[in-house]
Amino acid sequence: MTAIDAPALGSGIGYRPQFRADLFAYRDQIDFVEIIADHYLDASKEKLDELELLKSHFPLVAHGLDLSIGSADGVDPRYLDKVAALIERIDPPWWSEHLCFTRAGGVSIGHLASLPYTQEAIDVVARNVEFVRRRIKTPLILENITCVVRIPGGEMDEPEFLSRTLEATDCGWLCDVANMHVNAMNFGMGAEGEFERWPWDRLVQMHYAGGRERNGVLIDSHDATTSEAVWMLYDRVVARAPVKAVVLERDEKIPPFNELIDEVARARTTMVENGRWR
Amino acid sequence: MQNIPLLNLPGPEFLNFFGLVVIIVLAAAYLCIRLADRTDRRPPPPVPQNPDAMEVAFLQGGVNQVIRTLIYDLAQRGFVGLAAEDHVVPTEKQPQPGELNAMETRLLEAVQTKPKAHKLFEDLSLRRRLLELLAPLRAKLAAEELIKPQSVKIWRRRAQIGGTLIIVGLALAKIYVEWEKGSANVAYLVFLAAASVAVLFALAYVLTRTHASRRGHAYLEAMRLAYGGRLKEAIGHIGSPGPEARAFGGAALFLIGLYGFSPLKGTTEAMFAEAFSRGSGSAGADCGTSCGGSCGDGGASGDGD
Repeated sequence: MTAIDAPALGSGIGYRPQFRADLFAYRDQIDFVEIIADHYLDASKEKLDELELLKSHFPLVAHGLDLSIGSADGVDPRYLDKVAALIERIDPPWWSEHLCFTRAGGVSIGHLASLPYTQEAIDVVARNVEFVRRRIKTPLILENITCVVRIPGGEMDEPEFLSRTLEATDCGWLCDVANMHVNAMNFGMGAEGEFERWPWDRLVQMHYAGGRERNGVLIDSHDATTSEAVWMLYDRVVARAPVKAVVLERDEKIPPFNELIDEVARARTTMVENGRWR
Repeated sequence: MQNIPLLNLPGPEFLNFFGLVVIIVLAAAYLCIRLADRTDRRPPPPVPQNPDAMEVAFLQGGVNQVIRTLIYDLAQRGFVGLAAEDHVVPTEKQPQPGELNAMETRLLEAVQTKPKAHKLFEDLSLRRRLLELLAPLRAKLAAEELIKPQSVKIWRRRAQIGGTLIIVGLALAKIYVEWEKGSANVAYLVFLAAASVAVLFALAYVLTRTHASRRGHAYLEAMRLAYGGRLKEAIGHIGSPGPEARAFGGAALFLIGLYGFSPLKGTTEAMFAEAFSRGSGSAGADCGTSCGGSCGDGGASGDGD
C-alpha cells in the first residue's frame, strides 16, 4: 500500500531565513525544502517574495503548526482559509500537520499538546480532517509529536493510537524519528520492541533532528546535531518503509551550513542505499 | 490653418487642450518604451550558486559598475589604493605573472597615472577595452534576455522624435495662427512646449537608463533576495583581523557588483563610497533597481544596448 500517490522528493531541509543565502549557494545539495506554513500566513510582501523565490528554485512542501487538528471544538475556519491559500499558492505534493492540539476552548495554548490516546480523540481528529479536506484537496499527512505528559485515561499506546488515527482519517504519516526516540527514552520504552507496531504502510515523509537532555529528560529542541541513536532509528525506518522525503529540522544554534549539508547528505545516502531515492 | 477650430480656441482653453495632448503623448511614449521590453514574459533564470562578480556588475550598472568592482577588488588585493582628493593610485605591490586577468591588468594600467576616481569613468580607451573584454559576457546576457533589447532603444528614439514633433508642431501651429491674428502673447505656450519636450526626454531617459532588461531586473532582485543576508555578514568582517578583513573578496565580490559602494558607508572603507560618489554622482548601484546602470551608465544604454 502507498499512502500517497506522489513522487519522491529526496533529502531536504526545513527552511529557516537565517541560512537563506547558504541554501541558495548549496542548492544543488538540497533536494527539496520544507517551509513552515505559519510563517507565510498574513505574510508581508518580503515574505511572499521569499516564498516565490523558494518555489522557483526548490520543490516545496508545507508544514503547519497551529491547525490544532485534535481540538474537540474543531478547526478554526479562518486559519484554515489562510493555509488553503498558501497551499494553493505553492501547490505541494502534500502538506503536513502535527497530530496534537494547540487550541482549546478558543484559547491558543502556544505549544503542541499531546492528545489522549482514546477512541474519542481519534473520532475528533477524523472529523476535523474531513473538514480540512473539504477545503484543501492536497493530501494531508500527520506527524507524531513528543509527549511531555501522557494524558491519563488512555485506552491504547502511541503506536496503536497513531495507526488507528491514520486509518480513520486515511492520512499519510510524517514520521519524526527524533520524536519517536525522545518518547521512547522519556517514557522508558525502547523503540526496538515497538518498532513493527508503527504504521509503516502509511509512511510518506520523515523528520530528523538533534535535541538535548535536561534534568534527565530528552527534549526535541532542534538545536544540535542529530544523535547517533536517532540516526540508527532513521536508518532502520528508511530500510523498513518506502519513505518519499526526509527533512532535517534545525531551529537554534545553527552551525556552519556545510554541517547541515553533511547531515542532509548522510540522510540521502541511506535513502539511496535502500532504493528510496535516485 | 485659421479654419481649424482647435487652433482658434482662446488662450486658456487652448492651453488646457495642449496639456491634454502632452499627457497623451507622454503616456503613449511610456507605453511604447515599456512594451518594447517584454522580456519579463519569461521568469528570471535561477540565481547562480556562485555569482560571477563581473556578470552581476555589468548587468547592474554597465561598465562603470565593472570599474568600481575591479577597483575595489584590486584595492583589497593590495594593488591599488585611494589617496587624497579621490585619486586612485597604484601601490608598490606588483602582480605575479598570471595573477591578474586582462580586465584587471588594463585597469591597473589605467591607474598608473593616479587619476581621480571619476576620470576612470571618463577614460574612453579604458572603457573601449573593457567593453571588448566584456563582449562574451554581454552576448551571454543578451542571449538570456537579461539586458535591454535593441527594440527599447529604437522605440525610445521613435517616442522622442514622434512626441517632439506632435508637441512642437501643435505649439508652432497655434503660434502661427496667433501671429496671423496679430497677437504675440505666446511666451507661456513656448515655455510649456519646451518644458513638455524636456519631460518627454527625461521620461525616455528614466525608462531606458538601466542596463538590465525587465527580466534582468527580476534576476538581480532574486539575487538580492537570495544573497542579501551575506551583505551584512560581509560588512561585519570589514576591518577585522586576518583574512576575513577582505570582506568582499573572492566569492563575495559580487556583492559589490550588486550593491555598489553604498553599503560601505559608515565602515572603515567608506572612502570608496565617498570617492566614487563624488566621482560619478553616485555611489554605485546601491539604490537597488531604481538607478541601476544610471549610476554611471558606462555603456549601459549607451555602449551597451
